[in-house]
Amino acid sequence: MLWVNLIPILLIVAVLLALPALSRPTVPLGVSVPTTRLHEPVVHRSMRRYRIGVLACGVVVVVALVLVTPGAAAVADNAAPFVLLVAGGAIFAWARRPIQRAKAAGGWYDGVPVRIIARLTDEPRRVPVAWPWYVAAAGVVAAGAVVGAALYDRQPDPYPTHWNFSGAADSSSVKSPLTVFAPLVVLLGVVVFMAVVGALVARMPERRYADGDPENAERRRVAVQASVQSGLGLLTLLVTLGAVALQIAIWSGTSGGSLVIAGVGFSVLVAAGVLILLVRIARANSTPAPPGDALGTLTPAGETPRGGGAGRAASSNGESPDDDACWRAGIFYVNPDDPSIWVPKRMGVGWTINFGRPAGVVIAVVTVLVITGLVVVGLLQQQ
Amino acid sequence: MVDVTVDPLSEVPIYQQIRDRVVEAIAAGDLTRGQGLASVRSVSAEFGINPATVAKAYELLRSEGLVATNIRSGSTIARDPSSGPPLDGVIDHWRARLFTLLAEAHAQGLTAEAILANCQDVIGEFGGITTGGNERCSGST
Repeated sequence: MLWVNLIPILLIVAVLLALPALSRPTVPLGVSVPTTRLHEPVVHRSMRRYRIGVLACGVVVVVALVLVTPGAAAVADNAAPFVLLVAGGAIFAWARRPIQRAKAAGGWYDGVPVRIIARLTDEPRRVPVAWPWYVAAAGVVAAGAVVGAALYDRQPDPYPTHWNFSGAADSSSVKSPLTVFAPLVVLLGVVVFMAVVGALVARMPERRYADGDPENAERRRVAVQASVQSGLGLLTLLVTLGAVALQIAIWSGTSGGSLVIAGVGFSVLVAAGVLILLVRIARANSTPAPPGDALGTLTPAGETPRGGGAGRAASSNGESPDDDACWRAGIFYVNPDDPSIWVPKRMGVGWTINFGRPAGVVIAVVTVLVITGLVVVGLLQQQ
Repeated sequence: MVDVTVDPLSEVPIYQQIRDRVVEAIAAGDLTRGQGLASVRSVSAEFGINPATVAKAYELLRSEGLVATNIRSGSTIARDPSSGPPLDGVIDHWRARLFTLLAEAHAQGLTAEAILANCQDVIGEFGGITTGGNERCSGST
């Protein structure tokens, strides 16, 4: 087994462990819970059950990969991430059940006021894309190109284009500006792609959730979106810095063990970027909104719009409705009444399809077909 | 920027709640004549409810002359406190409901003075039209 095959395994374990922190606190393990019930022992127990389960699965998969016979290693390495994902899903389903049972038995939503929120006026409400980060990343690529131009004459012909895991070149082609600068062109493409992702994220439909404090729903939405935007930008800059540094090392004639170390350094930088992004989102999700400055939400007459009972936990201001019935297995959204095709995911960041809409089903089917097709074509080409 | 909060489990239908919140926002000066409203689709998508519900609220507001819809600019606020005398028939309908509302207070033992004081308080929350609120509340009786 190659150590690089552990990276996807560790990444999946990390994402599965981070999932609850990347979600709204009021949907522990994908179960709607009023804010007043968030600290019920059963919620904490279920969360612990999920974390321990995921960790145990990760350990089992890693040990299995280490122990597997060399003959079966290739198959095992390819299958491990899928096995881990399926196991993670099963643990999720198993760990959330006690919360569902306690909620149903205790009538957690009985008599709890619930609210849904929407913007009534038609002004734009986008959280700005973190353009400065992408501009800086493009600047780093440009600086790399300048260094590359200065080192161009020193590059060997044929020019090495691929290296194995010991840092020795195992593929090369005729030296030309195209082959020497190709990695930077790809990198620039990555920067543009990430900026486009940021712009798309800014345009996706958003929802505000009452979550015990409807007044600050917009503030919470903006905080999470801003953390996503700045995190994506920072990740792009870190990836670009690492890749350009790695490229300059290659141009400077680094090879063998030093190149492997540079490659590991690049991987660490990318992992750090992903980690920063996740931590930012998790912090935005968990930080309660500061008091005061309600954002002009129109509440039903007779309700005190801000604060409520002094000193008491937010409870009477309105919770998000219990929409567990719309979320099959806590993950798949099925709501024919909801006109949205894309809705914010319940677990983690991003959007998911509304399977209650015909267009949503079409998107899901096409996606599954495309992925299956790609896998089949890949397998056929390998043979 | 005006957000509207609705209780999806209330006995009051959601379309009625949306309509009521819009009326209150116009009275409070949060929504003014000419201001654009979000489309039926975008409001219903954000609520996650059937678009017909939001369309019904907008239709109700249109029938009351408070909202106008045209194909190019979408729905806009058509009236606000500065728009002059109310449309024909609107006040008759309002008085019929006011009759029941004040009767409830009187039946429960509130004196005429207490009822008027309450009216004054509520009107005070509308901001812009506090002066002369007494006349508005007591109407032309």
